[in-house]
This record gives sequence, structure tokens and C-alpha cells, in this order.
Amino acid sequence: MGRMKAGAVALSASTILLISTATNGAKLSSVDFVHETPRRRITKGDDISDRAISILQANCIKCHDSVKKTAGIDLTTRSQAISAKVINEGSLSTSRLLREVVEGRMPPSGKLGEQSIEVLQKWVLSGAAYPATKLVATNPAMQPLWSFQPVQPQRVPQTPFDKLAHNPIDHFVFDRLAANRLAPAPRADKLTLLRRVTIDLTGLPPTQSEIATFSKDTSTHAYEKVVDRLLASPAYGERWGRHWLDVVRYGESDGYERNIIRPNAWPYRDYVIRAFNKDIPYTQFISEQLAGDTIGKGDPNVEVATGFLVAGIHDTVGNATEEGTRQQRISDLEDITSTTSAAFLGLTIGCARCHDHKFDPIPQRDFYRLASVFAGVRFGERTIISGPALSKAQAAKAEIASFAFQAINALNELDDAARPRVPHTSGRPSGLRPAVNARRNVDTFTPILARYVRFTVLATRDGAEPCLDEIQVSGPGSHDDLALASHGAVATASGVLPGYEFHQIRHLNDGRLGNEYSWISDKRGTGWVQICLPSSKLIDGVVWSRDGGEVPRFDDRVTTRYRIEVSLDGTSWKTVSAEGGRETGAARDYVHPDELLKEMTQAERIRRSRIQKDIQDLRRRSESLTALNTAYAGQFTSPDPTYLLRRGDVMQRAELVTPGALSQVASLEPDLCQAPNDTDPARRIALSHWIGSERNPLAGRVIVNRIWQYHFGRGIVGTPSDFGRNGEKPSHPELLDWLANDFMANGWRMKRLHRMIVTSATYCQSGESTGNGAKVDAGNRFLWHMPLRRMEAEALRDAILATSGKLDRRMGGPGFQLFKYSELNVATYDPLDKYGPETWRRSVYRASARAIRDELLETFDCPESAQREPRRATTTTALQALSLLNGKFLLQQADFFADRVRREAGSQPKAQVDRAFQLAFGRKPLEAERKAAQRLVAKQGLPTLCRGLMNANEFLYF
Amino acid sequence: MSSFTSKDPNIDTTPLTSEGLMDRRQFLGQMGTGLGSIALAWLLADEARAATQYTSPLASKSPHFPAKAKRVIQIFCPGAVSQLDTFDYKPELVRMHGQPMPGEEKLVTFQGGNGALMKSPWGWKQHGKSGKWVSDLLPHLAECVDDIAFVHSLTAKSNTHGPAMLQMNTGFILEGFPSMGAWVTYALGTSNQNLPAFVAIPDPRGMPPNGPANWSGGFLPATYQGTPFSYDQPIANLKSPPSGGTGRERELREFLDTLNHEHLRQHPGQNELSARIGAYELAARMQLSAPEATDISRESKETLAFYGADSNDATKAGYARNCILARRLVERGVRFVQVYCGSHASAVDGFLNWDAHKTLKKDYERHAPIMDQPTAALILDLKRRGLLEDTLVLWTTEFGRMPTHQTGSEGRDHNPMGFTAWMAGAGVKAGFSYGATDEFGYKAVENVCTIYDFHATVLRFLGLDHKKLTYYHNGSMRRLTDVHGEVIRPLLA
Repeated sequence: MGRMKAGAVALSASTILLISTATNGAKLSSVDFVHETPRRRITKGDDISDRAISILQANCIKCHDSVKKTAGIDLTTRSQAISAKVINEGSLSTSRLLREVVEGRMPPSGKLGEQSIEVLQKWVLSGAAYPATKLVATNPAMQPLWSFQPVQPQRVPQTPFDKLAHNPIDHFVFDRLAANRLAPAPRADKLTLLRRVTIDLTGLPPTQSEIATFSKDTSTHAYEKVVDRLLASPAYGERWGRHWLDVVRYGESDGYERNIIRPNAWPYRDYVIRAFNKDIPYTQFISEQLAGDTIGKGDPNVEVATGFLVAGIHDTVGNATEEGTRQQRISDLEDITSTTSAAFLGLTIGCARCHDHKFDPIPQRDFYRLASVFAGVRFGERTIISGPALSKAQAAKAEIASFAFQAINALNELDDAARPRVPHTSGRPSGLRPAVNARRNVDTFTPILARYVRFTVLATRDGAEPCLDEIQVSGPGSHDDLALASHGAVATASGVLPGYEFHQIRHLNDGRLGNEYSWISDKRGTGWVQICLPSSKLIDGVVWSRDGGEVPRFDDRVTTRYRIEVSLDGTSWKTVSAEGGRETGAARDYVHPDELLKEMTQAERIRRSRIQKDIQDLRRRSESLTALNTAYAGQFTSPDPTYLLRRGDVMQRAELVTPGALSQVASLEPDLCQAPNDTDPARRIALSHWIGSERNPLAGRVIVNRIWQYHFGRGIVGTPSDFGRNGEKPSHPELLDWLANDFMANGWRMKRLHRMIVTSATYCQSGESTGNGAKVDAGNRFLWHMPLRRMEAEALRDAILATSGKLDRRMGGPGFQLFKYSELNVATYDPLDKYGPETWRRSVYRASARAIRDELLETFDCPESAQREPRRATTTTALQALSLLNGKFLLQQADFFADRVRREAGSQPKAQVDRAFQLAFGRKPLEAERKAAQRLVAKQGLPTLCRGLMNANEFLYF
Repeated sequence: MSSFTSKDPNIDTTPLTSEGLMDRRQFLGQMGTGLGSIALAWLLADEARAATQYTSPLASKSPHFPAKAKRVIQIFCPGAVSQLDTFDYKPELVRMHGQPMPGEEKLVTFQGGNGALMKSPWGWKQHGKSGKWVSDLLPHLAECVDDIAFVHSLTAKSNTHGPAMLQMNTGFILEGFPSMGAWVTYALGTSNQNLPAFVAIPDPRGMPPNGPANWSGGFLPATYQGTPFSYDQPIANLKSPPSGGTGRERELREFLDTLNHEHLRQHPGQNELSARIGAYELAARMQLSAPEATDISRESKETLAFYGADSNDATKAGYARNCILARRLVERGVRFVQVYCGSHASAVDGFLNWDAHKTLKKDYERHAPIMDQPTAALILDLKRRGLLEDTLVLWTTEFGRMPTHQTGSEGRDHNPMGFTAWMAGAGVKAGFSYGATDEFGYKAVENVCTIYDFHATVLRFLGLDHKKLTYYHNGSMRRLTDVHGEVIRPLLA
């Protein structure tokens, strides 16, 4: 304890009052001493002493035990405490312990609560009784936590507002309102309600016909009919699936430095949308995400659910050191473990990686036991279909690839022919062959019989290791590429640049052009590649390139000096071509297609655009096939042994642990498997049963709270992924338990819960500030009204598209990209110059590459998906205003919106203004608004009005 | 550089006021047409309105205790700058050149095996009153050593660029945490509401590794994240769309105002709605202030030359302009500016940034001249303008490099066990070196410190207690320094 302060301690009035209570009203001649026989040993039923001892054990003994004896004080026994003059039985002012705690100097973690201080005072006055055994420090974090207690059955309360109630939710909410002298707000008007529930359930504003139908429907259950329609709409899954993707940090690239895109991550996104739309039981949702590979075997739509496990960031930079490798692995495991724990249990288990959780009953061992459940899970793609279906898909893909290859070749030939016509491409015509370029080079020679073709690089332009994306070999009278691996040809090389996933030798003859499908030598400036044909053939030419892809990007590593040799036996070689006879000097590798087009004939231009369209179609078909057979849904291996790591240090392995769940949840047995070598799927299945058990106090509460949060803007527990001591306590604990019980008892169905919530009187309140709500509860914790909320980034973007009439409602499949992607060891994502129709789908289908921020979505608080985001912030900034006023996307859509208005309203300004308001806000303009709008249209045109409407608060808030 | 003195009559040495209002009006006057006059009307109307209902979350706030440093410029050199070829002089490495490192003959580091010890290809000399040894690679920075406090004993948690850069910028090796600039902005707000509070200036060669994660606001509200722009890349969407009738923007905003005020009238008491109206006013002001603040052409020829902005090397000229931009921003009250010198990796290590695995000499002879003169000029210019007194300049990289060469190459592999960063300016003990690596510069051995310590110290300079600067997220009161960090007191003047 700190320095002792001289002089008497001032006692507060409440303390003195307490002393009189403590002595059963006995009159005190002095507050300083009590003439009673002090109790030295705790007797049964001595509640005060029991409580005081718990306080000491939780707060003091850690430092003041007989070993540490901090400041020379040992509080573990009564005699030690008295001999150190810390406790003077029966005396408040001479007991140093009390002075220290009353004045807040001890414990160092912060002043004890009033109640605890009172308990200690009563205890000292009554004689400071100790138990017979020495006190030991207890960890306060291990004390029972509210959320670990079983979900309690709840009686629906009676309230003064029962007449207004629609269902039990209202009784619980009204009960708290009444207790705080608040009253519910009146029911919102029809249009407000329709807009609220439509955006809330589907993420889209109501259409004009939906508005018309609802306003005409005067039947009793008009609103309930709307709710049922919305819940049945596929847009529901798109909206609520997006919420879940936030919770589980779903992203479509690896993150970190390389940040390589994951083109096949989206099947998990589609799974989530499907799961919500099909309203599968939540327990099934849990199991499929943890172990869909096993429990859904044979059904690709379920197998992809394990994308959950690997939806997070993953460092793909190789590391030659043991420590670095272990660190990467534990980071992966921590990501999976923490996400599982946060998403399903609302617990922050990552805090227990280095030590026991500081606040919650989660020993460090629990972290490693839970991590051990995932010890067989690896980040990466997995083949989802197998057997005959797989071979069929592979064959189809190979066929498409071959078509694409031919198409790109044809495109290159056209461009090749046009390139020399572009002025100044390579100086004046010299009669020489064109200089080597990155895109396409042709070497022809007298036909010769050969089995082997070798291409030797003697120099590169930049001195770097040479790169070749394809070697094609032609024979007289044949249009086929004889070198293709699919024809049985085999490629070998002098070496391969280490450390790259692509740039492998197999790409040299895979029939795919472009940097991603290329070979790079391991030697600077040199290297050779060789094609071995399946049999000897008559050949007469070689076409080779560095980056012959449809969209050329790379012009480094280009070969400038080379030799092409052929052989029949692989030992005696004959040179058939080299760089001689070519122009030297810098060739322009990439003449912009626009320049080429200028030089082409009309027929060539038409042919080129047809080929381009073919290539696009082929690519789309190929992508959807890829999607069918592989998905970024994790790879499963036999589990590595899991060790507890001392202080979380990967180099300090302590004991081996077996798979387990949380040890401190009393209602459930934590051991998941019998043996440490249980298989990987067995571990994950066991965990899914543990989480989804009706005896689990967390799973039900956590999910009903999440759903509540997205409907009301704030959960009953305000920290939806933290039901621990650092999180918020529930505002309506009884309601939370009632909802959890009701949810579990009725098959864990989410749509049922949505229906109950959105048809409650609570949800249907208006945003009016009546009574003293604003004074008593400005934060609306008790739900005395329903204020407006701003749409999230995605809903806003979707609403803009819906209003302009451009929203493309196609569901599922590969996402659209709001960036140009390129990859050269690391990935780069450049913003788009313009947004084409492929980007006009709902925002949930956006390829959500990490750390790549779309300026509209980003400024409106769309998370970057590196970390879990259980509750989004809603900020209001100047950059948002700029993005919505001047951003390319909005300007483009405002023009479309104006086109739509003209189309639907004709050329009359008044009709145009009315229609524009109707489409943007679902209502007619007020007279003053109409006047202002007409003035604006007259002077600045209709698109400016449309731009204004899409910037209005009324557009963004619902 | 000696030709540049504060007496040079061609250079305007009058510092701008941090609010820069007068200057902005002059600027608007010069613009004459279009946006300028419209927005000026908007601005004046706003000033006349006296009080808007909108309180910016970026309003200036007081630190925990009084402090000299009011703002920060952080220079970041991605790719891991070799301490052994810049600021950490090791005579023993010269003596032992070509011999294996004793006791570490089979050392495996990030990319694999290591060869013998390799001395720096550059000579070393002592500089300034402090007699600091600096490599001949950096002649301009060598002249600034008496303004700098070097930390030679930093250690990083990761030996991989991505995670290590994240640690230097956010304290964590995982993505998703707020960067130091975001924390500082969250703590202190900004004194100029008309410019972004936290600006990240990427290198002319491209984005740094990890991209925007380096200036992420993480789980802090989006308001606090860095806004990227540079001398040639303006703030996104700052400009109103081209073409359109006269007065279009003004009339549009008036219309919007009509709608929003009617809407607000129907939804009284909803602060968010008035906040959004306020944000549009702020956006208008930003449209006025930012072009002036970022207009490098307003600098004198001498200043441009002083920084090297007239260099034939386009990258150097670009980085120099970015350094000038950084100075212009802090002059105008921007709280935190990151300036990158080097970009993401390319297929060739060390080509676009400091990651010299294979050809150290060639790589650094390209990178060092880009960094050297403009960085030195920034320090001297700030000093001359009196800004260095309350501006903290940081020079950082993600980790250091090995004293050995990589097997089969003439470059150095990654080394997180001992590396150098430095600070200059507000409250920093100038002409000082703290901590040391071993005789070869391999591991930090004296006053070993962590990035947490470095961050705690930076916050301390700004008057912030790193243990008290917290934000609740996913179960923890998060800090820049996690649960670690001790202020490096000897660095405080």
C-alpha cells in the first residue's frame, strides 16, 4: 500500500450512517471503537465476512500475499494483517486498509465501489473474521458472467400500455417505458412505415407499384401482407446476408502486402444469401459454416459454407524462418478461432491468446483448445465437385480455354497486321522484320521435321529474368498449335524464378496468354525453354510473347536476343531462327487499341469487336464453371498438434492441448473429442453441436440480439459481438431471454423473429419526440420512438441504382469489380475510369477486395473487411458530401435518373418534377418544393434536379 | 543548399495563419470565376450565420497535458531501409567484411540462407556538432544531424513487409487497426476544419505495400481515417463536375438547402440531419481551401529548387513536391501528414522501394537521392519558418536489413531485430542518438525498444498518454500501443 497519510480520515455521512446500521442501532459514543467481542473466525452464515474475504481475494491478495508481500504487507491471514497494522479490529480510522480504500489509493486498478467499501467497513467493525485457511488471490475475470448463466424463462409483463401492444415484445418494451415514466410514440404513417420496413428487410426502397398497392390496401392486415411479401423476396437474403458478411469479416482478397484477389470466394457469399432466403434453422447455419464439407458432402451448395472459416485475411508471403512461419500459422488460427467465438458466442476469445482473459471467464487454455478445433483448416481454394461432374466441368473448361486461346490469337493477328500502319511505330519502313515486342513475335522458317523445339534467351531488354507467356509451334497447312499441353506436348526449362505462385513452366504451353500464365527464368537475362512434341512433326514457325493477353500490361523482361533450335532426338540441334534480320531499337509494344482501330479497315474493325465479344462471353462461361468446381472455402488436412504458447510466443510451446470449447460455461461439457488425434471434421462437427445446443446460454441470445440490432440500430446488448464484461449490459435483459427462448423453442428460424419484430407496435412507432423522451432518454435506449436512420453504404448505392432505373437484379455468381486489377507479385487495384453496366448490380455482389476503398462506399462507413464489423459506425463528413455531389457514380446515375423521368413523365416541367420527387422520395412535392425544383430545372436542367434529390437527407434516411 | 537562407528576398517567409482565411479569400479573388465566387458567397453567408448547428467530430481538442508538438509529418520509406548503409555506422563490419558472422554461420532469414558479412558499399563521415556518422549515400540529411534524434535499437514483430508496415503504422501486425494518424486525429481533432485532418501522400511511383491500410481509421469512425492525395492527385471528388450553366452549383445547393430544411422541420430534434447539412457547408469550404493548399505552383522557384523539385529525375521531383505539399498542409493546421518515399513491391525486389535483396548498391543509388535532398529540405524549411518548433517530423521504415549478404547475391535480407528510425522537431532532443545494435548492426543490444515504445513516445510529444488514449472495439479498450509501450524519455528535450 502506498504511503500512509497522517491524520484522521474524513468519513462520509453515508459511512457514518452505515456504521450505526452495522451495530444494530447501538448508540456509538465514538465512531472510532466498538466495544464488542470481535469475531476472529468466520462462522457459518456470516455473510458480511464472506463477502469481505471475496473482496480481499479479488483485489488485494495478488500483491499482498506471503510471497510478494508488497510494501511489507501480507493479508493472507488475520494475524499477519493485524501485525502489519493494516487491520485494527473494530476500528475504522486506525485500520489502514480502510483508509486506503476509502481514499481510493488502493487497489491500484481503481477505487472499489461504495458497496464493497461498506462491506469492508462492516467487516472490520465486526472484528475482521478470517477463514481457517490462508487467503488466495482469485481472478475477478473468472467470476460468473451474466451471459454464461442459462437463459431464464420469462413471464410476459402487464403494462399500462397493453392496449397498444401487438405481441410480447411490446409488453417487455412498454414495461421499461412505464418504469421510466415514458410512453410509446404513436404509430407511424403508412408511407413512413412502408419505406422503413422495405429498406430494413430488403435494403431497397419500395417501388412505385408497391407504394400504390399499400396505400390503397385498407384491409386490417395490409401491413402484415407487406411484411410477408418482403420476407419472401430474394432481396431479403441479399440484405441480411450482407449483415452477416460484416460479422464474419468476409473479403475477396488476401489482404496484407500481396493482397491477391480471391476470384472464387463468392460461392460463400451466395451460400449466406441462400441460407437467409431459405430460412434454414440457425443451428444448421452454424454447423454448415463450421463443417459443411462433411455434413453437406456431395452438395456443393452446402460444402461452400466453410468459406466462413477462411473468409478473413491471410498472409501469403513465404517466410524462410521457423518463427515467421509459425507466426503466420497462429495468426490464421487466431483469425478463425476469434471469428467463430465472436460471431456465434459474442465473446472476445482472442484476448486469451497470451494470458487468461483479463475480464471474462476464459482461461488461456480455452483459446488454444478452441484453436485446436481448427488445426486442420488451411486457407485456400478447394475442389467442391468431384467424380464425373468434375471431369465434365474440366473438359468443358479446357474446351472454352482452347476457344479463348484461338480468339485471342486471332485478335493479336489483326493487331499485328495493323501495328506497322500506325505512324512512328518503328521509324521508317526498313524492310526488316519488326523489332521484338512484348505482345507477339513470329519466327518462320523452312519446314523441318522435329520433335523438340528449344527457345534460348540470350539477353533481355532490361537485364531482368526473361518472361515468356506462351510458345506456339505451327506446321505447314495447319492452324493448330502443335505445342499445346492438351495435345500431349511437354514443356521444360532451364529454371524457374523461385517465390512465385504463377510464372511456372506449365504455363508455357497451356494455351493461355497473359502475365498470370507465364514462365520466368531464374537467371537474369538468360534461360531456355523447350517443347517436346508427342511425336516428330513437320514444323515451320514459332509464335512467342511475353504478355499476349487480351489486355496487355507488361513490357518488362522482354527477350531481345534469342535462338530457336530444333532437334529430332534432343541431342543434336539445328538453329532455325534468331533475332537477326529484325529491327533493333525500342519497339512500341503496346500501341493503344484506339490507335490500331484508326488504321484498320471497316471490316477489320467489325471483326475485331466480334472477337472481343466472343472472348468476353468465353471468359464469363469459364468463370461460372470455375465457380462450380472450386471455391475459396478452405482446405482440410489432418490437424497439427496444438500447443499452449507461453505468453502467446510461438517459440515457447508449453503443453499439448486437446480440442475443447469454453470451460467456464457450466451448462455444457467443454471436452469436444476423446483423443487429441481426432480427425479434423470430427472436431469441427463437435464444436458446432456445442455451440448450437439449447443449453448453450450464448448462441441464442447473441443471434436474436444481432437481428434486433439491425432492426433498431442498436442491440439490446449494444456490443453485439461482446457479451463479456467489457461489453454493454442488456437494456432489456428479460426481453433478451424471452426472445432467445422463443427463438430456440420454435426451430431457430430467423424469418419468424423478423416478422415478430417488425409487426410489433414498438417497431411501428413514429419518430416523433413526444412527452419527456428526449429529456429522460436522449439515446432512445428504451425505444420510446423510432427516429430516422441513415442507410448503410450498400443500401444507399442500391437505392441510387433503383431510383435511376438501372439496378440489375441478377443474383449470385462472380462479383463485379469496382477496380482494375493487375498482379505482379503483389496485386494492385486501380479505380475505374467509368462504371459500366456490369457494376450496376446490388452492392452485395461487389468483389470486396480488402483495403480497396470505393470512394462512395468507403466514405459512408462501409468496412474494409479486414476485421469483423458487428456494428457499423454512422459518421457524417464533408468527404461524403463531396462524393455524393461530385462523384462519377452519382453524376452518371443522376443522368440516368433524368432520362427515366423524361421517359416516364414526358416533357412537361411540372410533370417531370412530380415524377422525380415520386421516384426519389415516394411522394409528391410540396408546393414550395415544386416551385424551387421547377426553377432549378428551368435554369440548370433536369439532371441537376436529380443530382439534388439524390443528395437530400430524405433520400438517405429512412 | 547553402545558397538557401532566410534572407533570400525572393522567398516569402511569412508563415500563413493556421486558419488561412485571409489567404483563402485572396486566393478566391484570384480565381475570379466559377467555383470561387460561388463558394465564396456560400462561405460568407455561412460566416454571417455565426453559429451552425453542426459540431464537427474533428473539432480541435486539448491533449492530456501541455505539449510542444502540435502536428506530425511522418516520412515512411517502404521496403525496409538498411540501417547499415544509412545511419548505423559499424566499423567492425568493414573490418570483418567477407568473413562469416561469428556464431551465425548457418543463419536463415526471411528469403533463406545468408553469406558472409558485407560492408556498406559507401564511405562514412562524421557530421555536425554532434559528430554523427552518416553514410556518404545521404549528403543532405548528413547536414541535418544536429536537428535529429536517432533511435538505433528498434525491433519489429514481423520480418514480412505487409505485417511489419502495419505494425509501424498501426501498432498491430494484423490489418484493421487504426493508424497512428487516425489515433492522433481522434485525440486532438484539427485546427483547420477546411482541410482533411489526416492526409496520406503516396509516392509518385504508386501506392505503398498494404495500400490504404496504412492510413486506415480501423474501427475508429471513418472521420478519422487518412485522406490520400498528393501534389498531382487531388482529393477525390473535390472538383464540381465540369460543364453546366453558370451558377449551377450555387443553385443546386440552395435547392438542397430548401429540401433539407423542410425535412428537418418535419423531423425536429434529429441531430444527424442537421449534422449532414453542416457537412455540406464544410464540403463547400474544403472545395475552396484545398486547391489553394495543394497548389505547389505558388512556391517560389528557389523553394522548388531547394527541395529538388526541379530535378531531372521525375520521381525525385515528385517526392520533393510531396514534401513541399506536406509543409503547406501543416502550415495550414493539418494535424497529421504521412509522406511515402517508395511504393509497393514489383517483380524485381528493390526496384520501386527500399527492399534491396539482390543489388543493394544499384538499388540505393536510385532510391537515396530521391529521399535525401527533399527530406533534408523539409526539415530546414520547417525550421526556417519556425514550424519545426511545434511540428514533429518522423522518419520511419518497417524493419532493417542484415549485415550479411544473401546467399548468391549482393543484397541484404530482412532484419526485424535491430533497425533505425529518427525524429526531429518539437520537443525532440536534437543531435542525439539512442540505443545501439551489436558490433555488426545485427541485433539491438543497448536500450532495446519496440514500436510500441516509439508510438508511446510520439504520443507523448503530442501531450497524449498512450495508456489513456483508448477506444472500445470488439471487447477491448483498444490502444495504439496494445498493452505495451514505455515512453522513451531520453528522447525528450
